[in-house]
Amino acid sequence: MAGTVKLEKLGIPGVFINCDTFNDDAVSAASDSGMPAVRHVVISSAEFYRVRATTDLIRPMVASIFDEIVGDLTRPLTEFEAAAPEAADGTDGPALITVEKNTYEEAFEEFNRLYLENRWGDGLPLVPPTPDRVKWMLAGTRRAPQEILGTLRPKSGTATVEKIAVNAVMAGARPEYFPVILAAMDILTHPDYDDLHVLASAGSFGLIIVVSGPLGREIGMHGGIGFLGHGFRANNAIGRAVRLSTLNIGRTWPGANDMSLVGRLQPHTFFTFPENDEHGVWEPYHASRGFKATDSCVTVATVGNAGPMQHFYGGIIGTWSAATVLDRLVNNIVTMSRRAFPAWGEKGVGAIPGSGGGANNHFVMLFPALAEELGKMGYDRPKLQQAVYDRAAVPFEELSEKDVAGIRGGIRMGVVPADRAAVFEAALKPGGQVPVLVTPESLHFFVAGGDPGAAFSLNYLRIPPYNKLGVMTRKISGATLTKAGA
Amino acid sequence: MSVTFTVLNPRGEIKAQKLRPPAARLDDLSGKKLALYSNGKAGMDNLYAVLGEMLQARYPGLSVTMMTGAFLVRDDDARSLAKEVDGFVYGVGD
Repeated sequence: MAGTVKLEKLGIPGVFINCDTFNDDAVSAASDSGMPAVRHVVISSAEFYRVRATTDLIRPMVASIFDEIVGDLTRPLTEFEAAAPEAADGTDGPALITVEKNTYEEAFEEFNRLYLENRWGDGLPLVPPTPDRVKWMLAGTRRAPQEILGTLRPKSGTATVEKIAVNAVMAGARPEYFPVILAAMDILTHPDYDDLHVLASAGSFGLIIVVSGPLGREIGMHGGIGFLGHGFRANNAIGRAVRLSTLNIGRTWPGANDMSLVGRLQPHTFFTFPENDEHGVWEPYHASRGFKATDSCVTVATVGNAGPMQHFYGGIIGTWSAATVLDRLVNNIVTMSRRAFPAWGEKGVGAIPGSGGGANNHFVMLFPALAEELGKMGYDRPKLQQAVYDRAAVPFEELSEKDVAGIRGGIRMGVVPADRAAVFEAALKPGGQVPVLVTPESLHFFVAGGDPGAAFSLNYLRIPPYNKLGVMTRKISGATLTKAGA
Repeated sequence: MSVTFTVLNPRGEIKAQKLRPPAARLDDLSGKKLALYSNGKAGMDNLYAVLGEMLQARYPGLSVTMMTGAFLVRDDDARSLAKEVDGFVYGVGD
């Protein structure tokens, strides 16, 4: 719908066609784009997805909407459509809401009913964000309540420190967690981060939120066995605070403009966990991103969830070796990534060349004992990245013409950065080994979990559909209640 | 005795933007140039093939161009369309 509005604003009349399942999303997008009166024709989802396969099957549907399409292109605008509408009120309800009942239990129930009815909650009970409780949350940071971090899509709501504090209270967070929550929100509101795809896509994308450095331990985050799961207030409340903040500031709602068809597979809290640095083998992840090893940082990355988490074992079922785990990791990367070669050379889903297709980033969790074994084999993070990258390659002779054309197109368009072009030019000849990843930095290794542990990975597009980045690291700062993150 | 909660609104405020009406409509489709634009998603090719055929059968001299591009039409494509066509139909296969 935004594309339709873009063309209309250039003075060309048009009409948008959308399925009824996506109608709320289309109407919302028209309003978000500044043209609520844009004309659109609604077709039955049940019918369209069934008949779209051939022209013969779809003909009756097209015939049924033909006059409407023509009419929307030619019928003069009504007085209502042609009027310059008033700008919409950007608030969503009063700043303060009062709930009064006979008992605490009734008031608590009414508060939760009201917030969920307004689409301000996530379906689980919320902690009431009273002014006192929000003030309590704000005491965890030096950042000013009215500081604006940025905006969040799809509806470009403004994220202030105070609004995030309201959502953090609702999530059950504590003020010492708040600097972590703010750093994660700094990333999601960053102008280069693709928040739209992860929050609104029909695919079930989610986030990982990784805290590295001493702050995680100081605020009681859990990084041992079960680290991705429930039972750990810091992990779970931080992830829930970010989820609620995206829901309320970006103003998403399932089926309305969050079009995940099976739902978000991290429905109430994003995967939030600390990197395990007790092994002492490697520097923390954020040191590989240019931060000081002694800093405390948050890394946020979009990950695909509806696809399988890739397991490389370790664990307790059988014996394992670091070499075997690495073999499985390499095989998985090659199997998943080699199919994408043709897409390297495509213009892209969005404005950025190659966006929404092509090679992935892989976020690999190594359990501490595995990291130790890899350390004994001589690997640090950069050496492991290079080793896996070099091994995750396909013989030139196995590439199709479309594969080669895709890679060459990617080089031409800059999807393969200029400093990597020579690697691929050298490989695209008989005897060459063609890497399935664009760069070793596409491999992100974290040390996480306990003993025994399991290695696994999640992955996502290296170039997201609607913006430049799907992974970012940010230093935590402004903390008032902890030594780290100050 | 009653219990009162006063609670804060968690919603991010949206900066009010100037809203605009759609572009003026065409008087007629005869002799015009129309773009049928999609993001290439499955089914839009067949929908547009049939639509284009029906439009040209009804309106003599109507020129129909199929165009595939980004989900959100890129700036350069949008500028080209603005110069080259009189109207458009837009679909993203959903």
